[in-house]
Amino acid sequence: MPALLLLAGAVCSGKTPGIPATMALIPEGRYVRPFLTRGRPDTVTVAAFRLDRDPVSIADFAIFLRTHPEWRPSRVKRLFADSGYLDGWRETVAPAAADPSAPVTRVSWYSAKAYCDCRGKRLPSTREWERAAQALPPGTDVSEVSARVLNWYSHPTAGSAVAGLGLVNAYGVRDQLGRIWEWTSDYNIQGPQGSDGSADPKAASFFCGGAAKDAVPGLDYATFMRTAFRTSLKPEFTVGSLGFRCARDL
Amino acid sequence: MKMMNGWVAAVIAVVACLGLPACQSDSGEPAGRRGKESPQADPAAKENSSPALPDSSLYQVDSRWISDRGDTLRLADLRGKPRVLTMFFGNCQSSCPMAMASLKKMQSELPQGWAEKAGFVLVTLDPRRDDAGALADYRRKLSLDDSGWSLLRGGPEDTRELAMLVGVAYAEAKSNGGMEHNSVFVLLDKDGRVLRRQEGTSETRDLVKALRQEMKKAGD
Repeated sequence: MPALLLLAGAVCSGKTPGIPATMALIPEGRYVRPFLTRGRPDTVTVAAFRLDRDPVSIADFAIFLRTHPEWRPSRVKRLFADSGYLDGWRETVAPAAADPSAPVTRVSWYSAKAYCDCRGKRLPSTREWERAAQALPPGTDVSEVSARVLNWYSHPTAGSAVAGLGLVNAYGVRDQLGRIWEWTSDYNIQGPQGSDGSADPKAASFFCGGAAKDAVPGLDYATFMRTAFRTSLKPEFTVGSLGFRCARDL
Repeated sequence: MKMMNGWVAAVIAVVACLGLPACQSDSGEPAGRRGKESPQADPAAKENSSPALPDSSLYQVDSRWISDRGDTLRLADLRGKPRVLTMFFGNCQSSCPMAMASLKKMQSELPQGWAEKAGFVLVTLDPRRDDAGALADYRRKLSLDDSGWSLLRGGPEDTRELAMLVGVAYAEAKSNGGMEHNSVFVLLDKDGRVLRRQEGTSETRDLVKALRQEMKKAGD
């Protein structure tokens, strides 16, 4: 039986015990938030963590659906996903035209969380995600990358099957920028929160007349695009260009 | 695959069909849902034999929670009477004390014997610091009725999920070790459906009126 389980693990994930090759180590580092605090750039130190090198694929999600029928399109509760959830799938089978290795999209925050739970992982926090995305390899022409990413954001996406920009960060994490949008565990912390307390009062800078009043000079505009996109989401939403990847503590 | 023995291929096929690997963690350890973050095992969890929950019920979530008395429960165990739920944390210095004052005022406006027909649920946003002992202290400090008030703590991921469901956004504050969060009251019917959700906790007139109506319905 142990041999069977070992074999099962190999079939499922192709991973070796311990830290899998499919996850990258992101060392402790600083993340520059896209707005100023008291006129100065606001940096947050992010502890070391592991992040999936690639977004969760259609094939991986299909495997998950086989053992978690409650997340199949016909069974999922409206509380946890809107009516566009896995649009085009037939239960555990993705649309025939879909590339199984492409990132899965049209998944809600709840379903993404459930998938990561199932793998003994979690969704990355926004700070972790942005920390990894900002870690470009040494020598990268940041303005050139920013322009490419912004150009990608400025065009409607043709679906997740389209290859991304091929960007890889300094630690081997692929396609965070320029392929799909991705859920984070606390994507909603930058939204306006009403009058009785605010998760992030500085977020007002992103709206209406606030515009880029408190923007960090020189930070790529794509960061603002992501912030704006996140604030438009609700956890049950599903979007054709929105997927996820998982993270893990060390 | 060409090199694979027939019996190996058969075993792989069986395993794949069974789907056993689908929840295999990348480290090779099985990772059951919530298993990692559930604060403790659940020997006392009750199976709910009531009719199926409505699709929109918050009680659909499968997470497990620990009360200030050390009991483990699922949210579905709260089924049976309308409740007002809010998320807070014990070390909160500003908005939570005001929210608690509002809830206690609401309680004072309920009829005698209210605790049999209604409940208040306080769920901590800071499970790392608000352990069962801290929650018990909180209950004592605020003189919260034993049968009418539930104080709960869950794992960090489950706490985040519940916060998403009720529209609470929160993050650890950068400087003072506190939390930045919005304050929300949610009125749930006896089956966990959200009847009313309000941002801000100072005005409770409409909420208490809706709760009374729901108490009447639940008693019919």
